Amino acid sequence: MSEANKKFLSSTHRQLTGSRLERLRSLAMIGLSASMVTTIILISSGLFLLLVTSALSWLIGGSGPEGANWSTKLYSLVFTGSDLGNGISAVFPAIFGTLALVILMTVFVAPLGVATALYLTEYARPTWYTKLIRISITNLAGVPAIIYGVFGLGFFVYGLGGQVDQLFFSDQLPNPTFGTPGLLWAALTMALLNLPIVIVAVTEGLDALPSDLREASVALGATQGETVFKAVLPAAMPSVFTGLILATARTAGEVAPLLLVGAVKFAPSLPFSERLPFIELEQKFMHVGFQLFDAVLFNRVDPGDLGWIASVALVLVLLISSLNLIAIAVRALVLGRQEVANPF
Amino acid sequence: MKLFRRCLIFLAVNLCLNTASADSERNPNNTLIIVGSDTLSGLMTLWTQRFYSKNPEISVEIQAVGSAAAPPALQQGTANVGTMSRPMNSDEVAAFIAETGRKPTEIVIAEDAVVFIVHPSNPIEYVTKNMIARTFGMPGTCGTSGRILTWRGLSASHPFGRQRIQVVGRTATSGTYQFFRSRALCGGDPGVFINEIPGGAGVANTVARLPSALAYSAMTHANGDIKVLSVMDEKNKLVFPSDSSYPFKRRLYMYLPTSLEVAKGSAECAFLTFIASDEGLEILLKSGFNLPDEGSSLTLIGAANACR
Amino acid sequence: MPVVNARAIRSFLAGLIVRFAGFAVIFSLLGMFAQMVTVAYPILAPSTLTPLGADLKTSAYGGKLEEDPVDSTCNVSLSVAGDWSLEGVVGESWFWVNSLTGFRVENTDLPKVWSAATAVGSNRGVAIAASDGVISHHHFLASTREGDAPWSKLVEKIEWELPVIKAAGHPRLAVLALLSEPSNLTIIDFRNPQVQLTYALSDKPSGLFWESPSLLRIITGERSELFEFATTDIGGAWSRLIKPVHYEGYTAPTFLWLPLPSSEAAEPKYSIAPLLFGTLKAAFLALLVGAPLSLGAAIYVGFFMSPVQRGRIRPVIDMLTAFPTVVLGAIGLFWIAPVFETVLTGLIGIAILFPFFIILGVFAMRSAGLRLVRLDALDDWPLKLLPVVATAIVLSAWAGIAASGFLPGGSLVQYLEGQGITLAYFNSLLVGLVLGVAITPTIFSVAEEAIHSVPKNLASGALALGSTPWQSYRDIVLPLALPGMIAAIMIGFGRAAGETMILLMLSGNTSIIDVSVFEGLRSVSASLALELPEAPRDSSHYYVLFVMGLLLFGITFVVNTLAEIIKDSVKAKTQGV
Repeated sequence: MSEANKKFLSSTHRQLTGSRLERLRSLAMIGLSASMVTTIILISSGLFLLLVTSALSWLIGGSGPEGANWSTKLYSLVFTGSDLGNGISAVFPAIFGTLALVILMTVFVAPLGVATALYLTEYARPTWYTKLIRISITNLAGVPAIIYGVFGLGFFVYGLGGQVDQLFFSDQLPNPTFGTPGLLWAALTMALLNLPIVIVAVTEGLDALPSDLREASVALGATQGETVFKAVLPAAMPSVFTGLILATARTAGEVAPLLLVGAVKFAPSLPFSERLPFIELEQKFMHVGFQLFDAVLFNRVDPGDLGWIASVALVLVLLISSLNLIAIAVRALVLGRQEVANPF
Repeated sequence: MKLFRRCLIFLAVNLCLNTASADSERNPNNTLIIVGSDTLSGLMTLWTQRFYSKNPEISVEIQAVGSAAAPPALQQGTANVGTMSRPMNSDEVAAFIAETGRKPTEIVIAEDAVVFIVHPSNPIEYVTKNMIARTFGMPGTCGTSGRILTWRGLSASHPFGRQRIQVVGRTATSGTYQFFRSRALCGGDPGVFINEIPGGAGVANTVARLPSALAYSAMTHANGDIKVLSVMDEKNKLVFPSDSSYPFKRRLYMYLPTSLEVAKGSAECAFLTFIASDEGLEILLKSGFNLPDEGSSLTLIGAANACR
Repeated sequence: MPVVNARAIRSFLAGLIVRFAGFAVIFSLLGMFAQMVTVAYPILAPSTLTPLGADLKTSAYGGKLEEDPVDSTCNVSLSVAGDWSLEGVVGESWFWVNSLTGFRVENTDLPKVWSAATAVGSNRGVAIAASDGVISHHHFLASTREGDAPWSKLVEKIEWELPVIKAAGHPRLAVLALLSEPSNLTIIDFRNPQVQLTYALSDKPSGLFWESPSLLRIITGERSELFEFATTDIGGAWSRLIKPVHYEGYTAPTFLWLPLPSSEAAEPKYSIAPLLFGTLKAAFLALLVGAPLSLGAAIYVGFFMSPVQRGRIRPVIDMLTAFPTVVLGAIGLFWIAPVFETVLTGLIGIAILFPFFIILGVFAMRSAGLRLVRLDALDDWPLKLLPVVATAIVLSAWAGIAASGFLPGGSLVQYLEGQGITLAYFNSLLVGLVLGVAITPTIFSVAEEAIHSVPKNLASGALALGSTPWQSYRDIVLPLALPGMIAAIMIGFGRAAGETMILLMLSGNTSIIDVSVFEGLRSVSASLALELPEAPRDSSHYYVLFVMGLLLFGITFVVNTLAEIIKDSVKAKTQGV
């Protein structure tokens, strides 16, 4: 290349590249936005470390009954509770209650959410009102959790529960059996709360599938039902699991609706019995999030003695994280087993 | 999918069986549902824990979000014991009678006092009723005038006196709130500037951390490092919460939805018998409450006797 | 002929189940709103007056009528709360009389010529039917000087042409029942004065009184008729929920949320305005904290990162969701609130100095020949910048805390006190901080999706033409992603408006309307959580709570719908590229 051309190119290049100021500004902005990522991660780690150090310092050092070492305190915290002298209840029944709620909620939300998503994408014709329904459902996912609690109280507890009592348990009245907050209504309320999230996740997964998948299935002679259930749905399983993971985390963490529909401070019996059918649906139950709420607002906490609050909070955080990890692992397991050779 | 379907069928069968068998489980003789006052919740928890260890066949639940929860729960049958830190007002009694056709049984189970608490580093020692009305209430409460904003108005000296008082109280569903409002504020409205904390323990927690805080609280929550103020009466004499002439003493109530004769043999009566026993009364005293004096109303011992 | 075999039937059934389930779910989700409306609807019901029938026995009631101190032909003596009562004689002034001392103070505000006067609202006010065709309603207010007589304040005036025979005030509410010529019974509810309930009686009435808050008895000669009066706590005037209302005992109309009176005598107050204001204030402050954090991170992860690293970093950022809001509220309450002054000065320091330190650190790492952060290895920046970020946070926070010592007064709190501002323990800044952290993951995921969905080739083109990476983002991608980012902010706003736990624990629940960020607030969600479990079913309080819930539902629904529409408009634009 001639000297003149090189000169031209380099000067043009400098013009196009912009001034040194532009490059510096670019660096600065990239640095700032990258630092935001770092800051968020630092905040999560910082909060976690705060809880862990506070909990550990209480377990190993802090207050408690005479002669208690860390293992007895841990045992008390998890299983018995009363020996800690703070009037708090043990964490194990709450963990059990939370798991029962999560499982029951999943039982309700999974088939209904998947069915609705399938209906919206596969069966319903894409008219303006189905589009409106989709938008409505998407922003129902943003409706505050307390509203679902309000609705759950009015409709499930007083409405449906009152009816069930009158039809099946009228001999117990006026003591309500189902016309009162309990595990069943809490599970239904949380299922309703999570339905929009699951529906949105599954519809997004279904939408992302190439139409060739359905066309090929029909071309091979499958009916619509077979296409949907044997070809489309298995391909969209990852999104089903994504939705269930989100739902699970939300159920374990949201306390506000449970204030209205089911959790209590202290229920000495687990919603569980030895006889069939092993689950008591009309009973109230304990929930780790509610436990923390109760511990924070309704218990005396000395300024120097925050460790056991941190322990309960840590239990909740670990519970949510474990539920997430289990769900992710299940998803990986199911998907690994399912070799969807998708050439598209 | 197959496993999923099987699980669904299993659960559906369980649900049907459960609804069929649940009625034999929910025997009113072996369930105790206690709803109501947060002031009494600590005592109730201790009592029910001991009671449950002695009578494990009776399942107990406690919900302690405020005295206002007790009358509706009793009336709708959601609870069989209601605890309140104030007596039921005529509206609530009327609604109960309208719903059930009978009056609730009122039992005075303890006495305590509503005290005024401050941070341990706070220099003041007492308040007067006039100061309380002017600090906590809307202007003009109890015929007073001039809202007290800073600690100087409560006779604190400089430099602490310059700080503004952070007024803390309970939420409206609390019986302690209603008692305070009717007794200390002459039924008037509390100021909108009062921080409302849901539980009595929460109020004490806040005061323990905030040097410029002033709050009212049930005596049972004013433990630990909290400083309790005395009240100065019109004759300029200091009255302590333990004195009999303390102006904010109150009785604590337990309500049963039926009469005691009807309740004989039920879980409520078993519970009453326990809490009137020596062990129960000892727990009551240790929690910071006083025994109710045997006046004209039905008290704990009397109710337990009627239950036998 | 369609094929009918086992497969077809199974398929048909499957389709039926799916359609049915889908329909049911959609119906119930959308029906939530309708159901809540049906629960809340009764609050709009106007007051009603229903005749219950006539009774021939009058002797017992005749006796009761004589006990009534209202003798509107001559004089009226109303006992007001405390030691004072109000006495009035037609044609002369009204006087406040102290029952203990006998002291008399003239009240010149009340009309002197009247045909009927009665106390209303449990002796908290008086209604006077003056002879000039005006019915006036006055509140009683305690004097500002102890020991002085109370005074009366005119609240409402109603034109009333017909001569008034007798009047009886409701024992509890500010409701007036009056008999006017020739034989009309009218109920005037001063909470809703324009709507009056009128009933034409068959005979000329001679007296009336309230047997109970819901039963009104009219004496007409030989018989007496019974009427039932049914009303809600707001008397059908739903504007009382929103407008400032002149409540009894107050000198001017104001907003008050005090739904649980201490006794039957007090008036419940249902002004929703402070609660709505509090919700919006908290959400706005949360956005101030959360938006910069999450948008900055979204820009980086969505645009500058490679897909592989992006897939890895997104779950790490989502780890923040492992902290439910109840945990964040607990941390705020026990760890942050007690030392909030220090935290606030540190945050001010960070807000001012953090960008500066970061930029300094980035340049430092690049120059000095080290090239620790390279433009062609953007993925590593968050990790490599970790020491810089940590140092920047510590240094700028420390600088802020140290700088506050130089403020006049010696500390931030003292400086504010000098300006006449007190930093409340439970203040809006604390709420905004914790709430902002809580909504960061929400805003991040939506914004990041929006930025990432802009096709990369657009930006690559700009890069090839010589723009800097930031320029290619700012000039090409940002305009396309901006609607999505705005939608993300709106969704975050909706999330913050509906959040309950943090607001319950940290806002102080003070129902005030104050723009100062140093004061507390009260939110709709916290009020719902605190009061709904105790509100008796089918009471006015229950209805008003559902109304508030519907308003919250409505606000978040509208905001989210707008956000969805904005997001969809972007998808349409970028799909064709």
